[in-house]
Amino acid sequence: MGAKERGPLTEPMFYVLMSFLHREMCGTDVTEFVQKKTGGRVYLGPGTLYTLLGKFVEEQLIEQTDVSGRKRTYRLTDKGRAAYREELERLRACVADAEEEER
Amino acid sequence: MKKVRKLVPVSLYDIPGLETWLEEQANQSLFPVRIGTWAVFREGGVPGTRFRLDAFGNTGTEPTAEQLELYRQYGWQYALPIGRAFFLFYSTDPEAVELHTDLQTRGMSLGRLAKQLRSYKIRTFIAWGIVLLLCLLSLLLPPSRFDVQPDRFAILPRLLASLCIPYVLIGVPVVILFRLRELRQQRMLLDLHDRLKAGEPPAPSPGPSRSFARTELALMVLCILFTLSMAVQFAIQRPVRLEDFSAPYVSLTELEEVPLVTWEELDGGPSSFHEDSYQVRRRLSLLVPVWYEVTQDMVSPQLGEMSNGYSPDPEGGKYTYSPDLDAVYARTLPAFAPTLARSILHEERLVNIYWVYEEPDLPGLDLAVLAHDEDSPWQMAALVKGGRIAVYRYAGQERLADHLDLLASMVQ
Repeated sequence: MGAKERGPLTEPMFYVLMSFLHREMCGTDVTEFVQKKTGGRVYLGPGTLYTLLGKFVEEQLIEQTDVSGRKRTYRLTDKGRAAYREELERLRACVADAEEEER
Repeated sequence: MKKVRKLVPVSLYDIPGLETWLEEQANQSLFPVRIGTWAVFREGGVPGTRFRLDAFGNTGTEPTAEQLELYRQYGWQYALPIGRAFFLFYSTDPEAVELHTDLQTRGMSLGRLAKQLRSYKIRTFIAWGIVLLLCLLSLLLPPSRFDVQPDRFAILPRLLASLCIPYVLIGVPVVILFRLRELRQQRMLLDLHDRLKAGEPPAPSPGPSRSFARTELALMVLCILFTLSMAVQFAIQRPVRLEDFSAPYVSLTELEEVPLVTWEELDGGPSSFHEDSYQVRRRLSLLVPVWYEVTQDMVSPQLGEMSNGYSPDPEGGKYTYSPDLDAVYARTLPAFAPTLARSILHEERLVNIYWVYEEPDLPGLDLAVLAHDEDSPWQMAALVKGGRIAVYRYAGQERLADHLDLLASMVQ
């Protein structure tokens, strides 16, 4: 599924992709990152996180790098980075529009 | 450990409803061991336990090690699979974060199941369409090229009588009810999927209900009745030797002037080759409460002058004489009897023979039809009085028209 079919990334999707920007991570690291980054505003349940990781692997936005016991580590792919940038640009445009309207 | 069995009073596709019901059972200290139409619980459930259904992913019917570990870290344990659709997880920790914290992702997790259901719906629709089409085509298709007097609608009254049997009358509503239930459940899950995917909260769940449980129970009882009625049907329709049958019928020996014996008597014992030559087969129909078919294929120890349908080989200029009388005796509604008699007559005829029909007006009978073929020893007769029917198909040297009193005695 490409970005066009998927539509804009949801907030949890966006933050999960963001978490892989500078480092490889496993599932629990992602949750901690998102919770810390959003000050607890966005909290990922394990079902949500597992679904998103599965979806992103399927869409090749992230790829698995290591399996240690039951723990798997993932990193962002070029396609994933592009999807993240695209969403970031969309959000920036939204914010810019809103700010312009406010002035 | 003691096991408790309960009928599941909620659809397995009503995710919130099933979760709620399982939590109610946990509050009664019951923990699920197996869930299908019936749920089996063991004692030892913890009150306050939360249950959540998680749709199967692409990893088969068991959760992956990664999934189990991830969920465990958040306080969720795996309980069991439900059907081929869901994993059941539970948490006894009231502080454990919900499994799914985002509506759209939750909808996404149901995506594979929703896709399977949609594909199944289409396949089922096509399959039913093909079945209906074949049924229609069977009525509209041209008759066999060997049938010299085709009448595609003549069979309908007999078909109707054949279909008024308990297992069809139970089976058809069972199939319809199962299909309706299946459609309702599929709609429920697809609607949930679509709403969640659009970021909308789920519609209120119908939840556990007595009426759902009653419907499930009724379907189960109907299924048992269906199976029983099929077994009864097959038992009743099993062919029985004529010696072991007590209902009245016209004996071929009464019809024939020459002495006759059965093939078994001629062979000096049972023979698999002739085992169906002297028997009766009962039929069960609610529209035709009395219905049996008697086959008598006998042989004369004396050689005859005339061939019949089955013994054309002359022996020293003579023929083995083996007359054949197949008869159908039935009792039905008087208004339906003439129509059914004609239909049975049509069904019993040999299709490659051109039959000449006549309907003599016989006193005391509501209907009399005689049929014969100019070029063969085959004859037929259908007699009706009130709701009683007797249809004969005969091959031999006698003329049925000369024995109408005997034949009509079966409907008097």
